[in-house]
Amino acid sequence: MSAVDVYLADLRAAIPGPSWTRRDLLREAGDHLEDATEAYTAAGCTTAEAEALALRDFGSVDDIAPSFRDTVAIGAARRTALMLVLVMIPQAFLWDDGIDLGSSGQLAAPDAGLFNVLDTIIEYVGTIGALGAVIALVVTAIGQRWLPIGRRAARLTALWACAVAVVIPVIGFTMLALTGSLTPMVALAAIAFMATPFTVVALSAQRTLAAC
Amino acid sequence: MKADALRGHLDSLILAVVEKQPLHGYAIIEALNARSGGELDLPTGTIYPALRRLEKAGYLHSSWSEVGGRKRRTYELSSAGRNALSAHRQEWRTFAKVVSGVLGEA
Repeated sequence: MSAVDVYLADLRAAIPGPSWTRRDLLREAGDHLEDATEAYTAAGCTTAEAEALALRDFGSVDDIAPSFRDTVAIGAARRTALMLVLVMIPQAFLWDDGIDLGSSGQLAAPDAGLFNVLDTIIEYVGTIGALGAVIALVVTAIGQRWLPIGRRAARLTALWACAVAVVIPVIGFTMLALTGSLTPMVALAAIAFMATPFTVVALSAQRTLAAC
Repeated sequence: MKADALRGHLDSLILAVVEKQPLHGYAIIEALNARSGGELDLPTGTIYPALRRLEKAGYLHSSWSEVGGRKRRTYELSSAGRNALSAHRQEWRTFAKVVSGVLGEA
């Protein structure tokens, strides 16, 4: 194993997070070290000397890893925010204008008050959750033109996505139970169109937090 | 010149060296060294997170292409990047003029 290989393995170990966000960065680092080593070798150094000089120029893992970690975490956060936006868009259709799952059953009178409270909460959580996801998506992309975005913003995005991904399905299932319409078919539809997409978002948020 | 002194300017320096032609990471470092007369003293590894940030900000486009028989990720200035570079040049000229005016000559 060459010194460059050892360095790249150490750098990989110092950057937690989803492998797809690290892959290109680490490949570029490897390409750079390969080019730099070749340049020093062409200048008359031995391979070992050339690798040592290339690594010295590149910076130690301790110096380099923090900015790589920021990049990976922001990439993961951007993906999580995008997933949340995509999952939130059909939810309004699912609950209000289209399938209207929440009103599909017979509402028992004692539960009507709680149902209305939950209906209001899910409206607000849905709207604010979607708005937050769009803001996070913009901030972690072109927002970097004006704002110093780092792991803190990535963590905030992940926590936001996680909260929305838990609160909406919990309220949703509770509302379905209150209407008395939680038949196996409705439950399956709710799992397919609500629980599963939000679980995917929550897992992405978890991976983002791991990268922070 | 140390990395601390470059804080806030590295992005513009990168945009400036890819202004004329698309370059890959190592070539960008070489161009920075050549145009600074070797005065820039920063770990070359710091360039890659900066390139990724500039790309996501819409200032650079990247693509994998063949360079010297090898696949390399090359970066190209976008129109938004060109505008940002132009704005930064103008700000820098104003800043340099003001500081030079105050410091004067020894």
